[in-house]
Amino acid sequence: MPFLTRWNNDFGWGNIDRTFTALDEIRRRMERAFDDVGVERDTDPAGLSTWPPSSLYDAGSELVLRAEVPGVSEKDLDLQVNQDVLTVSGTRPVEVPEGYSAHRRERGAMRFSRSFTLPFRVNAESCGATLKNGVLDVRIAKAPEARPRQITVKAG
Amino acid sequence: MTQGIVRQEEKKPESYRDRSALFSPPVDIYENDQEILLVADVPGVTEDGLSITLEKNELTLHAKRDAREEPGSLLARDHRPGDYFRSFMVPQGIDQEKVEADLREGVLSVHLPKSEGLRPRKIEVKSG
Repeated sequence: MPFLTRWNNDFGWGNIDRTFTALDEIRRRMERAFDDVGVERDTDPAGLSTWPPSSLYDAGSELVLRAEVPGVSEKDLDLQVNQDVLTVSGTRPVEVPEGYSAHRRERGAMRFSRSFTLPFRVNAESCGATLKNGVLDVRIAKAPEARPRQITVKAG
Repeated sequence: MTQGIVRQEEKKPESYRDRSALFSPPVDIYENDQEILLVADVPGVTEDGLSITLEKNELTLHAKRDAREEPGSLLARDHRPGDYFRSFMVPQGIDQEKVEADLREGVLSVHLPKSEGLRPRKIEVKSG
């Protein structure tokens, strides 16, 4: 890369690193401004302890885990249900495209694994998952005894 | 005075006004002889929700999430999912007409081609 930088210097391209570096300061200031008005932001986008960022929903007869897994394809995902623990694991490949040099790399390549203790007993035989636009939805049926039951009120 | 504040408010992205979460997505920036390539993680975004502008030397990404509904009542989450916003200064000499973007698996790639004059040229050496 130093070679490339030198090579391009005459054309002004050598400044790209500096341009982006200068922007970091602007970005930091912007983020501070966001903080001031209470706008949330991802402070640790590649934080492995909480990757993938997820939400858990109760949909009556089933539980839904929604996880953000940008750049992960189906074949790189592994889902396991063991008793009441759901484990989402996989790999996300991030490679410098061939023939390119890297100026900035914030998106980490990673091998991840995150386990969720589910608040209900589940039926591991009946679950499914979909992946769309980098968002994974895992649906797991609750065990029959954990499903909501309709109680009929009889007039006395 | 009041008017000034209102006008400023209007210039902000919609989601900022709504005070819903606005994230700064992680990006990779690559370069080769032909172009600068910017790659950003924007899970939950469809092409309809994307707005990419290059004005002067400032590239701005604003990506809205698709309108998919929450599948049930929320039990727990790491953060409130929100839209994405980030801007960059890019070097001069980008061919604005030819900027292209594609979106796959929640990953956005923006191709910023260099103008002809800025690409390194190969010089043929002729034997005399």
